[in-house]
Amino acid sequence: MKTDPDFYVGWQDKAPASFARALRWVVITLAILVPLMAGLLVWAQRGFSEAVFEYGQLTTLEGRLIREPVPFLRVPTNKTSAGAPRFERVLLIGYGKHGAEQTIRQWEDRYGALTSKSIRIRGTLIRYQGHTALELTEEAAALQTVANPAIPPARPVLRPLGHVTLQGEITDPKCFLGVMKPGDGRPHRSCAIRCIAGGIPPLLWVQNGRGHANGYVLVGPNGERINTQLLEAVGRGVRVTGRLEQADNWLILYVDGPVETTTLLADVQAQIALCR
Amino acid sequence: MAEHYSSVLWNRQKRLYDLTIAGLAVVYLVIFCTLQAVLFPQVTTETIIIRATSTLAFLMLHVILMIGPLCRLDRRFLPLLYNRRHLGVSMFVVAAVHGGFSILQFHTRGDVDPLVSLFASERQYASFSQFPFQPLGFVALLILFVMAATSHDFWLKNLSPRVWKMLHMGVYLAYALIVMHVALGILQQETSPVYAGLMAVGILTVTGLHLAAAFIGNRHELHPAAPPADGFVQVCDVADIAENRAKTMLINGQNIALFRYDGKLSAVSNLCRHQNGPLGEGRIIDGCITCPWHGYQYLPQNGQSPPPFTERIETYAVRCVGTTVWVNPQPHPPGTPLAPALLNPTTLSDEN
Repeated sequence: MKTDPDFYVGWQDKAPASFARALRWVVITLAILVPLMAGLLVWAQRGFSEAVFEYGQLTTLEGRLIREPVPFLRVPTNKTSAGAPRFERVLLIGYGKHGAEQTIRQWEDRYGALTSKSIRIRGTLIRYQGHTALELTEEAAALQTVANPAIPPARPVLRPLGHVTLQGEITDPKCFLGVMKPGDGRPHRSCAIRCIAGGIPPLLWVQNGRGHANGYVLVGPNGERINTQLLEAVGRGVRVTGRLEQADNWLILYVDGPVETTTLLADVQAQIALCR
Repeated sequence: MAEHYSSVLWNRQKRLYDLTIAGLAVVYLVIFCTLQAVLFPQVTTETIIIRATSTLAFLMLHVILMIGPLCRLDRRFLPLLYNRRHLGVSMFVVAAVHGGFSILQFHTRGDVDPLVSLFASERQYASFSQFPFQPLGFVALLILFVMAATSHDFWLKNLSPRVWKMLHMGVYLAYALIVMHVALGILQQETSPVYAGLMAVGILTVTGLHLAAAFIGNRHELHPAAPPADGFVQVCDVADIAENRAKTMLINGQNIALFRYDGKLSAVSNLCRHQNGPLGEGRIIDGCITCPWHGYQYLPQNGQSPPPFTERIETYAVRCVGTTVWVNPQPHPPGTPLAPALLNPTTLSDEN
């Protein structure tokens, strides 16, 4: 076929000069636009939290198993200046999008009741802003040893902090404290719903205008699990009322009112200050 | 043109096209991932992959949607159209990586099947602002999959051009779903005006180009208003049609291309049997109407592809009285031979 300077179809090996010129401009434009877009889209992101998930690195912890209202390992850390023991709680979470209960039941099937017993377990640490959780990555094999304390340990002190109303976002502590970035907000909502439906305790994350933030584990008024009732509100702005208790380094909110979805900003500064 | 099928028939132009797509995609991914890791070292690998592939696929989809109207506005962009399906399949592969990683990240290892989780985790289907955005992306990905899987001419031939074209018009539905997927998903979290602004620019560019192409195409097209005489409608003067070129017209819903060649006039359907390409924007080459999109060819006097090819298009009767051209908008079955209208030699000499 003759080359026609004004006509071209793609099965011809070479485009006429006028077509080739136009194409060169398209390629040059794209070559400028593509890196520019990549840079702009990265630069304009809001950023990610400093939360840490020690993926691939297993840590062994020893402490007392606490089952209620949610599973914790109570680990002695150091002593106060007066010589009194000090403890830190590590929230226990199962592998995948599951709570720790199923794994603990497997342990108890093998070792009998473990509540208040001293156990040594291995898992993957997740931590953010003073909150630490341990994923039981190896599931049943995560339990290394079980021991009966020589002296029955004193009952952990729960410090009542009064009746409060808090406003924040309900998410799952596993993703939020480090497994996913971001572990909150709209894109993560379905994942948080799956995690909470799978038994991971819901966490209310509250922020104030001064850059302070704190997390509250949500349970029912009598400490019962309310994961299913909260699913509709996960990943959304909510206002929650309940009785607040401090359990070592964690805050537990015993929800006794309706969980209202809201986009209005509340003055939550007082609650955060109180907890600190 | 398709007598039989082979996987891909390569030529220099096609290789350049594919190398350019691959090169630009790699440049985008390398820059995005590197900057992400440098500027935001806290981010997880999964998030980098999900965001890099989603933004690249969305960018590619915009380019794909812009090619069609750009070619209608300026024929010099036509080489971009010829291999557009390569760009479409590449875009689907990138989008599938995004979809796969997102399902893996957000929906696996839970208490229900990942696909159940995808559709049932969020349930506010009755609310616009809270409508689950992930199923929108999934449905769009399914549409893109069907399009990528049927992109070869084998499917075009077997599904029939009409069905194939209808199926591939699904790209506009996929685009609308993806826009909603982005607006109800990531834009709820990444609230920088840069994100919303870029998406608005993208939507306006795609919409604007389509409107401009439709408007200009409509202006170039004849819309004869004279009442028919003996079934024929007066359409134009011979001098309005360049040699080996066509005038397009819309009469009674019939999209017709009227070609002038070798002192003759013939009218055929303006829609190429291959992908409904605008035959009237093509030209007569080696005695055949040649489609500007993919080079499919038809004989003007009978609407048949030259042997051994088998494609056929509708033909229309033409008359020439003096220098006035008349067309009968009643279509004859595809491939029906009709005698061309002969131009009066004095008309030709007058023009010269």
